Amino acid sequence: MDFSWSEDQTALRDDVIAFAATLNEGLRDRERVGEFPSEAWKRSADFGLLSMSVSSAHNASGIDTDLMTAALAMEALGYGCRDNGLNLALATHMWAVQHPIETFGTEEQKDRYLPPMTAGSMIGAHALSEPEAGSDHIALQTRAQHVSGGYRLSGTKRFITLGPVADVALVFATTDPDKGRWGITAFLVETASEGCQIGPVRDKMGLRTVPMSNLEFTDCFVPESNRLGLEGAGASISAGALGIERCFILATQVGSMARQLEEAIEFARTRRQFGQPVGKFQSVSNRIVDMKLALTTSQLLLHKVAWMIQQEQRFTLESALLKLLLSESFVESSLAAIRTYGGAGYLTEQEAERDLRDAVGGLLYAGTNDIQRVLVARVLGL
Amino acid sequence: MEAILKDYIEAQMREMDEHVDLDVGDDLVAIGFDSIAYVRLIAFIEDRFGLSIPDSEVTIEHFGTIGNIAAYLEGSGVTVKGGGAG
Repeated sequence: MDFSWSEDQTALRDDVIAFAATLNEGLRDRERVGEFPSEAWKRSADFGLLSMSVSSAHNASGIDTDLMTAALAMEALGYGCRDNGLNLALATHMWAVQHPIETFGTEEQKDRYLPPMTAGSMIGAHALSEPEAGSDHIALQTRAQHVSGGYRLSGTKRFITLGPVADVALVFATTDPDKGRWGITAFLVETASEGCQIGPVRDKMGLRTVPMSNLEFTDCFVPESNRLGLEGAGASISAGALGIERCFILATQVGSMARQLEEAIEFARTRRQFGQPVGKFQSVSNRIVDMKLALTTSQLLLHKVAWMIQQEQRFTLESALLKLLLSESFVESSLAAIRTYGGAGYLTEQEAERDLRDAVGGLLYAGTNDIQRVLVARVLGL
Repeated sequence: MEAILKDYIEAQMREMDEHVDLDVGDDLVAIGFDSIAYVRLIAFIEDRFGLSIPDSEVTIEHFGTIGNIAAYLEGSGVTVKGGGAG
């Protein structure tokens, strides 16, 4: 077992951290009004970040990145970039849309969508959830009816990350509700298509720089060439994509926690009360030790899951555990940081409270933590 | 191979408080075999028979019934002799 990174990997990590720090400009203002940072998105593509989930044959950078290195890069992104909304947006686009196209798409689909997506000129959204089908996605009601040359989609997709700015959506619909999971099929739907309507931006507690909306489909024609994978393989494609997504979307949170820890230590060493640094009080230092413990265990499990994916091992159980550990650790770490700063941590200008609001979203997206526990219990035979 | 699959699936169904005597042609989804059960089944098959099943191949044609699964595995070169996996 080798836990070390190569010189090339650590050099890339340092480059990503330095680049990611440049994405923070104007964050407080855009977070307050919920503005999507289009310019930062394009710069991320130019840097090569969006290309890291796609092979060089189809990405804009022309560089191959293995999955372990990509996980490290996502971690570095979270460390350098404080905009958790942008981090989620980039990760969703990369791992919940581009990666499934790379994995399940035809050569024609890869050639058409992946170069502009990795170049930052086309934005992708993952459209699975519905008003009556959240965790129980097999019960989805969006219909895909066979017509000459393709399908017509009708239905509503809810809580779609990047929905308001998406050019293409990976949409899951059923060709036959009576078939249950065997009716579910994946489609690449261009949002400019007639019959596809983007709903209003939904205001939310955190992650305010990544816009979210519903997507409505009304007899929206999708050519057969835009079906992703076989008809009826949608449930498995979705499950595979969500497993990858849980690993790489949450990877940025490991970086965020590392930054929170360093800043909390620095504060606890320099802030003095009762004639000594506050870090000398065990009530403070114990909390920081717990932050370190959460970071270290999260990081280890992240690297293990990324390794399992790279080895093409099945990782359903481990990715569910990772989702639970990482998202809950980020909430705890964010709260611990605020408590360490005291009253100052409660102020928006300290920029600690934003992490806590953002972290709560992680308990819900990419499969709620409640359903992850159900999944783990079932895999354990309970 | 069908017997191995039948035993495993019936055991999973018992865990879900569903006591069934399966036929190789029974529609697994129709009898209550849900998405998590499929996750476990595929992990079991990969471990038991030593192959990797791409998500894109988990379709009704390959995994709708025990008979479908056995045919898919045989088509993938999996053989069972004397109760062991070949």
